[in-house]
Amino acid sequence: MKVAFIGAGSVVFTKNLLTDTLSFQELHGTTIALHDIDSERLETAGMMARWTSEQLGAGAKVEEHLDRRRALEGADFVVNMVQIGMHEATLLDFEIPKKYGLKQTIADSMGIGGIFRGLRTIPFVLDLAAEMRELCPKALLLNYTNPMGILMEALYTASPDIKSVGLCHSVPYTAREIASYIGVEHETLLYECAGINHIAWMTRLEVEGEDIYPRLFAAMEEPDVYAKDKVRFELMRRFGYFVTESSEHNAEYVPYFLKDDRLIELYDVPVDEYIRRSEENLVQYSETRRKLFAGESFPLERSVEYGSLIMHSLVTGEARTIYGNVENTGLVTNLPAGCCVEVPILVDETGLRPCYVGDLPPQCAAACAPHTGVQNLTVRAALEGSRDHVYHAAMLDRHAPSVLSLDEIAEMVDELIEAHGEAMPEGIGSSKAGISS
Amino acid sequence: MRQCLSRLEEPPDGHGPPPTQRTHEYGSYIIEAVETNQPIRVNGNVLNRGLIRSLPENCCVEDPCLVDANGVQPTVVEHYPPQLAALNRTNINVQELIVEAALTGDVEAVHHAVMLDPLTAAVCTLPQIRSMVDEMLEAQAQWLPQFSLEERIQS
Repeated sequence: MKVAFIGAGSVVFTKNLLTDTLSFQELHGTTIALHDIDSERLETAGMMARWTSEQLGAGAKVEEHLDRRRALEGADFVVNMVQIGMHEATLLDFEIPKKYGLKQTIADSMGIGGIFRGLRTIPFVLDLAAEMRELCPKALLLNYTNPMGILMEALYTASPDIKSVGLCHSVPYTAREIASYIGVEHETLLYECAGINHIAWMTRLEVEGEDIYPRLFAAMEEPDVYAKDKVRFELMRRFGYFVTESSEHNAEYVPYFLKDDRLIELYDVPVDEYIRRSEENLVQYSETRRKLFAGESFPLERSVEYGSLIMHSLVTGEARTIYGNVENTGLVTNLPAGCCVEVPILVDETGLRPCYVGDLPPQCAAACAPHTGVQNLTVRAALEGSRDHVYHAAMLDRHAPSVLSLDEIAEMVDELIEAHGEAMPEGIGSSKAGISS
Repeated sequence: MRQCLSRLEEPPDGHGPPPTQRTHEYGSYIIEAVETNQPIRVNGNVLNRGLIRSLPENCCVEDPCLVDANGVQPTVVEHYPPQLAALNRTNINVQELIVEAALTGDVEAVHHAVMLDPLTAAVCTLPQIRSMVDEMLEAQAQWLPQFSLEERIQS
């Protein structure tokens, strides 16, 4: 078996996925083909991979490839974990909107940040799919890169022949958080969840056959519990269900928390949080590299990521339920056909089978729906080279218009397109037609 | 038919002790999966809510289902070969009409169903089908209360 890690230079994430994968006996001896465009990071990833394999006695064959094609050749699985533009591009996504008065927290999935991260990453994923078509057409693409909905929709729209699934840890993380808020072991929490990535709703929460929503509502009344997740608790209070991902992410998916300083303070919204994390990641990377060269150890615990579970289930036939991001082929009936939904998926040796969910509670579907429109427009902007659709997407975000006028949105979009330059898909950087002038 | 008859001929407590090996029947596996939250895949007969797009909405399809503590969750079948869908539809036609007949007590729907059965239509003429269905309805009237047949026969 061969697994290609594209963007392996996110070394800690690579380590986590490898630990998970190589701790399965049946996946020992796997060829791990690491690829990154940064040769130093690639070297670090290689060292980490070899260390991990050795610790686990997994006998993995670790390869480092600057040439992505060599990494992809004959792969059974392709893990996409790239970050196009890295920290520098992230800064633009925050700094330019900020000049107009638009504050963001993570800006990597929805909203203005999500749109532009999507625009600069779509050309990459389509290139990747084209190479997979040539070099490993039957491989399964496991996408971890954000913005999840936008990238998955671009993939299954433009490259439907390449099997792909979008993976995220926000569903199991949220389940664990809920368990901690009500004081139960997370293994005892039964849940059902569906929606779109990062805005998926816990439609069922039970412990030993008992609905624990009343307990969660009660826990929210305790100040120290409430303080841990103010935005999501407020959303639960008003919408009746607990949403995935996190308070810091969800704060920018709705117009209720980031539009003025009073609200930001009241709800502890961490503005510019991702910039801090991005900076911390850079520090963590240097530290990781230092430790590797010094022969120091790293924790070897299984993460909650689904990637290794999918590979193991496909190889061994052990059936599992995972949550994945896929095309809405009638799975969530009150979300648009063709949008990207996050649903339970059965995986075993016969493949990945998304489950029919039916209707979400109407207020939950309605909360997801606007973002599916933005995602669709962003995908169209890239696939059709349409600058107009970039404006449309930005205007339809829920957060930006709560703070900016139409003119400001258009000017901000112009400035972002200009700043991202060559990273923008073809056709978008061309002369400003119609809308903004 | 032959199998049923031969089983009837077996002594009720002959052939030794009851089976002690688990069979392939789904029932116990489904219960186990729900109770232990260990997922399994079964092919269950379920309502077609967009599961197989090329088959009629709300017909009964046999479809791969995830079973875990959240119960039986049907999955969507992406690429169902058109010739298989076409074959299935010939049977679904009959099923839909029989369900209609049973729920509404409409005797004509029974006739429609049988006229549309592929085997029957290949072998019998329409007049034969009509009198055959009439004869079967009369013979089995005691088990078909929804059609008010006994009243019809009496009147």
